[in-house]
Amino acid sequence: MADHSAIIITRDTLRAVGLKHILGNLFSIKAVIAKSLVEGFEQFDLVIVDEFNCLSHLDALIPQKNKTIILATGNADKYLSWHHIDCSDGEDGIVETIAAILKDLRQNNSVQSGLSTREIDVLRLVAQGMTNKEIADKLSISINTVLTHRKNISAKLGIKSVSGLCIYAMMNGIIH
Amino acid sequence: MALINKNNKLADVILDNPSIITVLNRFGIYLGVGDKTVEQVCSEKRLDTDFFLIILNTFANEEYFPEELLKNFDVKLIVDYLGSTNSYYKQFIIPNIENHFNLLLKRGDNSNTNLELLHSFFLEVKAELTGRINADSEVLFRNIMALDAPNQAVSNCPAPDYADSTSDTVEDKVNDLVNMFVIHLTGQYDTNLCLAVLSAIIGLKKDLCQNNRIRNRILMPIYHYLCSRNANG
Repeated sequence: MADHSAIIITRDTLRAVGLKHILGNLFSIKAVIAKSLVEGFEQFDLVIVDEFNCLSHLDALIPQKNKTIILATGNADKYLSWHHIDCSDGEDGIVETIAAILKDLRQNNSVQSGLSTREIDVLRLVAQGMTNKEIADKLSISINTVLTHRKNISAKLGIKSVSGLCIYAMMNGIIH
Repeated sequence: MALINKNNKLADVILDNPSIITVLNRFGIYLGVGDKTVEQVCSEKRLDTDFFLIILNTFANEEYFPEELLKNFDVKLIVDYLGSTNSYYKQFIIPNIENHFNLLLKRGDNSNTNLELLHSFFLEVKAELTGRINADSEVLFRNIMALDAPNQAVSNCPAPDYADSTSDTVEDKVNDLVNMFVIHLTGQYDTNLCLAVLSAIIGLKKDLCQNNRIRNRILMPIYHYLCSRNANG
């Protein structure tokens, strides 16, 4: 998961800072902290959210379920169908849980699409309606590189049209 | 694959290539063909046997496409055939997909968000295809018939914008829709209804592909030729 990004959405600053530290130091994941759900949260590779925010924004989170982790405190059974961390676990238990979830996500992503991280970045911007030039500027790459990524994305997914790519991105939580 | 010829029994032709039934309907031929040959059926229905055979063979064999032969036919035959194909899409194929899709969503209590997204994509494809069909009937076919009539001049020849190779075509989108079902569909769904939707979309994909060859490679060059003849007086 190196070079991946995460957003930690919780009003509990102490918990957020601790988790950010674990993700950065043990898993090389850059995380940002937000008090509540912010616009563009779906662009992060991982969305880690406390129970309050999860219940308040369930509609927005369901399409991102594949990459969402709920921070639960005890009684985590009700989140069985979601990735979740029981914050009352010991330190080793929490680290093991995060490692297992990341492994699961990595396998799912690769099975689902076979797209590289950069290709997913390009796909996200294509699905948001950006032109090749805008994507090139945004990612600081050449237009030719964007075209190569797009060609590879279409070959891997079997989808050529922008509308089709947009639907695929929504189906897989790449955009909301 | 051997080409269909005028001496073949139409029943044998259908049994060998069941998918051509939908093409026969466009010529006013329906099931219950008896043991008549292609030539006999064409004679009864007052169809041009050579044109009928070329359309059947073009539909049955992806590799077969006698471009020069097709260009030599009366343009009205081609326009009439493409017109009845468009009507078939509008009256049968699209409503058939739509009905099955609605049932599929209803059966799952709208709980599979992926299917709902695919449905919205289908609605986009439907709107685009219907728009193209309407433009064909109201502009392209009407202009061609006017240009082809003797001593008729048409004041302007608008270039149809849907032949633009740089934009996503309806054909691309239908192909994407098929691939999304086959490769990317997840979640719970009614297997039989899903198969019915997919089969109908695959039928549309094949039909569009075969007919776009006639439309884009035969009719459009004729249209451009007639337009330039009209412009030069």
